[in-house]
Amino acid sequence: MIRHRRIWPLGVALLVTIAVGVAVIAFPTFYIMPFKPQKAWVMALALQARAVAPLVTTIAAVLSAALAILLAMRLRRWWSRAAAIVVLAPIGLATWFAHQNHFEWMFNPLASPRYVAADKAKFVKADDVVMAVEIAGEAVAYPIRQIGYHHVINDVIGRKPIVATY
Amino acid sequence: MVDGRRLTFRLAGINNQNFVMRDEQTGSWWQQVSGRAIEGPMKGKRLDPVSHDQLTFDTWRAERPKGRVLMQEKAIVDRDEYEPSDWEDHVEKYPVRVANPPGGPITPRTLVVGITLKGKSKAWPHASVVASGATVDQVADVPVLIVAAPDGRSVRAFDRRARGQVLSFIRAGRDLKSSMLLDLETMSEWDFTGKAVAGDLAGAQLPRVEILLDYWFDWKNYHRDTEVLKPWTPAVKKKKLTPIPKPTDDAKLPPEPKKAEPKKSESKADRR
Repeated sequence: MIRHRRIWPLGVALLVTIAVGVAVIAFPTFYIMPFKPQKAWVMALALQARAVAPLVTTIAAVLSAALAILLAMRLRRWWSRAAAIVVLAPIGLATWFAHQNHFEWMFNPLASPRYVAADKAKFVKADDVVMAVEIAGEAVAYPIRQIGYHHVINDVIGRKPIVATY
Repeated sequence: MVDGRRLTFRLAGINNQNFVMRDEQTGSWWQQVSGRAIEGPMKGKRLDPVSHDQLTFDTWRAERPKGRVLMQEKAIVDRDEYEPSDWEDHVEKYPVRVANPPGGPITPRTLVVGITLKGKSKAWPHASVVASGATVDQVADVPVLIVAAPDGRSVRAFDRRARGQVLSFIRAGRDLKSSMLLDLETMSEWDFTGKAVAGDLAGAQLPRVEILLDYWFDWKNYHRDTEVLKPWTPAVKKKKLTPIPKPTDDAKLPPEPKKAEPKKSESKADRR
């Protein structure tokens, strides 16, 4: 009986820690999705959760690992010990995912925009639409077909730092 | 630059089908269409908008032959991941699922030309602006002109006050693709850059007014009190005519009416 009392609190603590760690990244991931409506107050919560997710999942992962080890040391059967370790998989995955930017998996960022003279831009058709910017006499064009992929282009035009978005 | 700090932005989310970006320096989240920080240490701050155009490449190149064009990335070209030429046709079919459906007289994915001046917002369907060539209107107390280029796509807007007078414009010439405008007050000719190229006002430049090309649902979401040009509908509905059935091969055609023989005119002399 005494042995069971030591195991159950550890088991519950482990599951709760894993649940919190997974929830803090799962909630914003599944709420902030395309073709879904977002309410303003829920969106604010989701962004706040996303902001703290890397730290919270890391703490949850470390704590979960410690609890899992303590739990495994108290379990007799080999399969129950293995289960105590395997249950760490979701928090491991959540921690890794919290440190990624999955939006950039599909739309790779443009690290260094490069340019070509207008008369050499054979990859742009005459009726393709471009986003045209001119600052301090420097004129550049961002073809929509390209900026529509990257969505965000950090640049300096006419010595002015800008971000072109589409 | 915000508060003297240079920020670097990354694509970081989406909010009612308009994307959200995040700056690396403060971790704040910024809404793309408004340029405003919606969460994080910079919440409430707004990026200064940069004047820009959306033009066809041909139109832009004619105006800026020495301009530079963003190069394509080979890896993305090899994966064929850049948008196709007909990307707008694809996007038009995407569903619109937002927290505040726009309603109104036009469909959610209608492309509109939006203007905001002195706290007042107004939108015109892009197709209507292009069709008219020169749209004359007013936003708040600012008289505006929205002019379409001959390419059928590029659009600009101007404040239509020049040299102390408010001008009205029409598209010049019988050729509907003409870019030249005429003002009705002096009959001066104006080009797509808003410059008078001939006439009494030659050399005058209309001040630019910034526009935003956006889908109606997105424009409405961030300009809740916007006015919008209603699409024209005929005042009188045409009566649907019952089609005349085509005769089949077996149908018997009615006999042709007998032609009346012309009456011979007889003079009194003939009767003698």
